[in-house]
Amino acid sequence: MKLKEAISQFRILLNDTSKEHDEYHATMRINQGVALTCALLAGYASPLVMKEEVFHEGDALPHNFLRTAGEYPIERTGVTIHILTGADEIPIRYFYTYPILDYKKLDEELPFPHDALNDFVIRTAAKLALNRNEADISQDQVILGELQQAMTQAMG
Amino acid sequence: MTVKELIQRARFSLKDNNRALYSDWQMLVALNEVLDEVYIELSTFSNNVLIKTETVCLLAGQGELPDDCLRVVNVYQGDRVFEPVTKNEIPREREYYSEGNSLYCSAPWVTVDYKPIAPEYTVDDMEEELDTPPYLNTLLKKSLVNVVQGKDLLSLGDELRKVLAGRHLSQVGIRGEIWSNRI
Repeated sequence: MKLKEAISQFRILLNDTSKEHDEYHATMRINQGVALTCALLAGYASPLVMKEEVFHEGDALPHNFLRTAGEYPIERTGVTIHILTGADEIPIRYFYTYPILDYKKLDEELPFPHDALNDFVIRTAAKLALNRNEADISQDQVILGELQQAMTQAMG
Repeated sequence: MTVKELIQRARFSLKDNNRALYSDWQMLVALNEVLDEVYIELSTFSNNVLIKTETVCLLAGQGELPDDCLRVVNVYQGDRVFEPVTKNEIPREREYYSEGNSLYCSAPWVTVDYKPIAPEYTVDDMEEELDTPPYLNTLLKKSLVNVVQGKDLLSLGDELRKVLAGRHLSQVGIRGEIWSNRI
C-alpha cells in the first residue's frame, strides 16, 4: 500500500472530505501509527520488527532501537554500548521501529508486508487524529482493541 | 549432538525458533550451568559416564592431576590397581592419595581415571560436539529449558539416576561371590 492510498483511507475514516488533514499532518499521524504498531509487534517478539547487526565497543544504539531479543553481555549507558566479554564486536538481534515516512514521497510503500497491519496503522492514525480533535473516540478505541486482539491471536 | 543442535531443540520447546526471546549467549550461559550441574551430579555416584583417562607422571612422589579433574575414580599401572589412603598416611607401594590438584604415590607414573569438570562453551563453540552421551540429550534439553525460564534443577540428580539406572557396572552378591555384570 502506497502512502497516498493510506492518506486517502485515513481521510475516509475521518470523514475528511475537505482535506482538512493535509499530507504533512496525515503522514505524521500515520508515522505515529507505524511506531505504535512496531512497538506492539515487538511486544509479541515478532520477527517482522527484528534485525541483526554487529555492534562495536562504544557504539551508539540506533535511534529506532527498542530492545534486544533476549539478553546479551552488554552494558548500556544512555545510548552507548559496552561489551562485557572484552570482545571488540558483538552481533546483536534487536527490535526496532521502522523509519518514518516522508510526506513528500507519496508513492512510498507503507512498511508492513501485509495490508492487515497497514490497515491497523491507518486506524491507529485516525484514532490519534480524532483524539486531537476532541471527538468521542470510545467506539474507535473498542474497534482498535478488537483489532489488536485479533492481531495477537493471529501473530502469537 | 552439537551444542547448536541441543540449543535448537530447546528453542523448539520454548517456541523460539526465531531467536526472538532468548539470545544464543543466554542459551549458552544456561547450557554451561546445566552441564556444570550434570557433571558434578555424575561425580557423586557410581557410574561409568564421562570418565576420562590420563597418564600422570610423578616426581619425588608427587604429580599434577589434569586441570579438568573433578574427582579421581581410579589409579593404576596396567592391571595393578592402587588403593586410596588418607592424606595422613605416607602412601606405600600401590597406594595413593590426592590433595587439591596433586596426586601422591611412590610410582614414577600412573594411569588415572577421573570425572572431569564440565567444559565451558562460548558462542564460538556452537559446532562443537557435546561430550555427554546421546541418552542424556533429552534430559539436557529439558534442564536447559528450565534454566532459561528461571526454574531450578532440584530433581536433576533423580532424573540422572533414572536415565543411568542399569547402565553402569553393577555388583550383585550371589552365594557369597561377587558377580560383575556390565549391562
